[in-house]
Amino acid sequence: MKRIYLYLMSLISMLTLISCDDILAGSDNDNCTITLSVTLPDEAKGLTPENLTISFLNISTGKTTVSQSPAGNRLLKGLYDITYEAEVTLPNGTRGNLRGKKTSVVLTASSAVIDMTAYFTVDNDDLIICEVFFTGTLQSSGNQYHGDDYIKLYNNTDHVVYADGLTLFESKFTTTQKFEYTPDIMNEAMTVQALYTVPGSGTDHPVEPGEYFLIADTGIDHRVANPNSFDLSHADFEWFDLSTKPEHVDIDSPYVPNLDKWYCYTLSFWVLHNRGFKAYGIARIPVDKETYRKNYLYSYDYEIIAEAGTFPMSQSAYKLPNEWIVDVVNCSVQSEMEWTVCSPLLDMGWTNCGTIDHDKTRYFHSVRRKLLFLDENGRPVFKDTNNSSEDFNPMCIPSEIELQGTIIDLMGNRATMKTYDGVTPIEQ
Amino acid sequence: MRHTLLLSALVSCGHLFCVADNESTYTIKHLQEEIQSSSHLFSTVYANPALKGLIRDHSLNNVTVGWEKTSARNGQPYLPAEGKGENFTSFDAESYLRHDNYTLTGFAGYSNGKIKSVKWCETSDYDMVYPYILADSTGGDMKSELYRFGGSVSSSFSSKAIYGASVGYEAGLNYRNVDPRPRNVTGRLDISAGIGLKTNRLIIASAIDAMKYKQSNSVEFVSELGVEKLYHLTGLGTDYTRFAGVGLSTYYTGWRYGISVDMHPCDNCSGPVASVSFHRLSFTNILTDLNKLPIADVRQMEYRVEAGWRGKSFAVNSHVNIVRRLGNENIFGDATSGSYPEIASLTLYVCNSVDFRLSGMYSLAVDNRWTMTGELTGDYNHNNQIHSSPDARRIINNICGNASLRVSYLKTPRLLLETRVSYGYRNNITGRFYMPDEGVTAIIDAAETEYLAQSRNVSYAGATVSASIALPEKLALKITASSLSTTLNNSYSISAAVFF
Repeated sequence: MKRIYLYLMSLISMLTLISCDDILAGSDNDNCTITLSVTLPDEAKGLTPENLTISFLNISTGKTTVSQSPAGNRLLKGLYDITYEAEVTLPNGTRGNLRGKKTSVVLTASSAVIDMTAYFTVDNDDLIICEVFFTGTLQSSGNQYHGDDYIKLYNNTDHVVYADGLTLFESKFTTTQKFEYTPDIMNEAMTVQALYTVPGSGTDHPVEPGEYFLIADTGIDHRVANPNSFDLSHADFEWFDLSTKPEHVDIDSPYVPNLDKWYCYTLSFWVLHNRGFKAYGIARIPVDKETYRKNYLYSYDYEIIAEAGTFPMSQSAYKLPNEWIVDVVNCSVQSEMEWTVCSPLLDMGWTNCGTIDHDKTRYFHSVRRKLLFLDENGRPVFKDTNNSSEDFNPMCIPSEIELQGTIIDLMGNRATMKTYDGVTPIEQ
Repeated sequence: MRHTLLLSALVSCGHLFCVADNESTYTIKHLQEEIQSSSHLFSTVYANPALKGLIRDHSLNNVTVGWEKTSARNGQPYLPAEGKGENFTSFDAESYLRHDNYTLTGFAGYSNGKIKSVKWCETSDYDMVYPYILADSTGGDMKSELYRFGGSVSSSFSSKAIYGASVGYEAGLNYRNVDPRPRNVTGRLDISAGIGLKTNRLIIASAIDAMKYKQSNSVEFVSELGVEKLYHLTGLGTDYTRFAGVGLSTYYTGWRYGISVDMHPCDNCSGPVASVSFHRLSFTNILTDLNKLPIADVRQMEYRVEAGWRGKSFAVNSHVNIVRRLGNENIFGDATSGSYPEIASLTLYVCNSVDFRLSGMYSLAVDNRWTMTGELTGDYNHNNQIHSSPDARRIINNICGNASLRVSYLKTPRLLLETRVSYGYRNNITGRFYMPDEGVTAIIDAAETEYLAQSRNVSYAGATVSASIALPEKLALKITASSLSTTLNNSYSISAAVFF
């Protein structure tokens, strides 16, 4: 019996010497080798891309792997967004920026070749969207206040740009819900649900270099109805809807002229998506309103797959050709983000106010384009790479609140600092 | 008149104590024997229902009400998922009945209380479901109710063969009435069965056991201003980024099964005690809101070897326990029409732990009144956790020692006094935490706090005093008060139990 006991004690001693720090997690079977095959634009074929940066964003883990080589990239299996950026020197000596993006790439094989097309980025010679304020303010009761949304445009160029004929639009699809649409026209056009155009003869509304162009929901001093809001009676234009619902009536400000309404989905009045699940843009439509409304309506199909079954759906909406679009900003929140609702050529990324659906911190915040530098005249030059993830500062104090020193939260704190972009202070 | 009534009451109480008969003193004697018992050193072996008849050779039952409070010390690290303290009241009933060659056990209990300042964990039973828990930065106090009941029967087929079976059920409810408002319902069913063979001096027995577990969680927000962001943690400061902020309703469902082979000396014999067991646990974490998406699952293997010697007045025991927990995260493709196709399942988390313990006790009876029982325990704990992508790793090796002395004094045949003092120290030999280089800073900080709490050198000192008073009809009332003070927290408890 004593011997048995001694044997058992020896066994226990041996077991304690066994090291168990080993394996698992990230073993070779969980990895894959990826090669990126990039098709360059015709002008860049035969040229050697320089300053190559390839980013692999693992959508599940949020980890980004950056590589300088398209071949031999070792990644964990999963779902990825892949971004390609490079520069080329064209035969005429100018530098061209190349960009490509492929989203929702499934990497499960041990090795794979991913095809991607890269495009030259084009400098925007028109107005750009500088700020979108969609969250709105809150009343002292804590309830949502409506009417003080705005979109601010900016002349980022060195010459006068006329706002006449510029169309403000909202995407039909949300960035938080993706369906397989048939036909999928995204590479050719955006599907939209609201279009409001700046009226004019063509030279009625000049915007000087370094100047802003403010488009408001309702161009009044909102502090009368909501002391936590601010004054928009100085806006350049407002959008106004003749509501068919007597209980929901829009306000037509006597101080601010109205945009020309081409189309809007609502029977009452249009507001920007309060949680920021849409894309907003500006376009220059070369046809008149009647022609557009007649010729640019299209139908599409998709399926809703739910526990109860599969439900085929059909809808109609207006489309806006990509070549007409001047600027687009995709908005979403991280917890709900599923896709950008335009071609990557127009906007590769997205920006946000808040990080989750119904984020209570989103109010009194806007998305504002980042400042690149001040030119020799002291005018701001903003970043515009057609990537809202990179071009915008999320969750900023809106510029109108900064300028007017109005309320920034329910505690009654006021804005005390003025900035160019929500981050960079304006030195007095 | 009033004085007469008071005097009558006092006389009645005194009469109550005075007329406790010889049968009542038997219960006191049994309580005295419990102090000298080494059964607690071999609790793994007695989990085999066939061997429950060997715990003691007499019946002993009790009904207990108690209160316990634990508070974390200010400025000391704590486990965020387990909160900064607890305050519970409980009611328990336990029975151990011997009748002919049958041994029947039973238990039922209810506890109600509050866990304070739980952070980064809106899920219950953290020890069971880690690292895949639902968490947020706000947290708060969590109210808790726990119900449990069960029992076992063991007997013999013949003079050579024994058998036993047990079943137990435990249900819990944890909730909070301020935002964020979790509501967690847990349920656990345990069943086991064992058989054994007697030799001249030893009993060799084997048992199989199974456990079914389910926990459902839902988090609500009532505030009109919106919701907090909820994260699905995946261990060591990482989270499942893709589903951060969604999936406010989740549930866990799992199984555990195992087998053991045990050895114990026959009734009233001294001899070796041993046990070898294997258990496998698996469960899945499912997001109810996203078409019941199985976000992660866990497989755990547990190996245990135990060996010791049980003597008349002394006992030694040692065990080594190896646990290996593997965490799989399921990867999903692009969601279309609200449906997420699963494209891969990656083992991204592993936790290896080894526990080695050596313990011994010696009991000395000085005449029929005084008994002293000394106990020494030494532990070595190794815990290594790894998470891949983002990479994180944590290693903790601790060595612990504990010494306790228990003294009982039978002041009269109807009054037993007992005191117990203990002192222990946990020394951290190795502690390293390589934090993930990407992720939510607050989650990483919470993981670091947990690491600090588990790797801190800790000393602890405890004291317990109790008095057992014989009552009529074989009853005995035992009042116990205890306190335990450690580097990290303090705890106090009071209980009153009626034994019979």
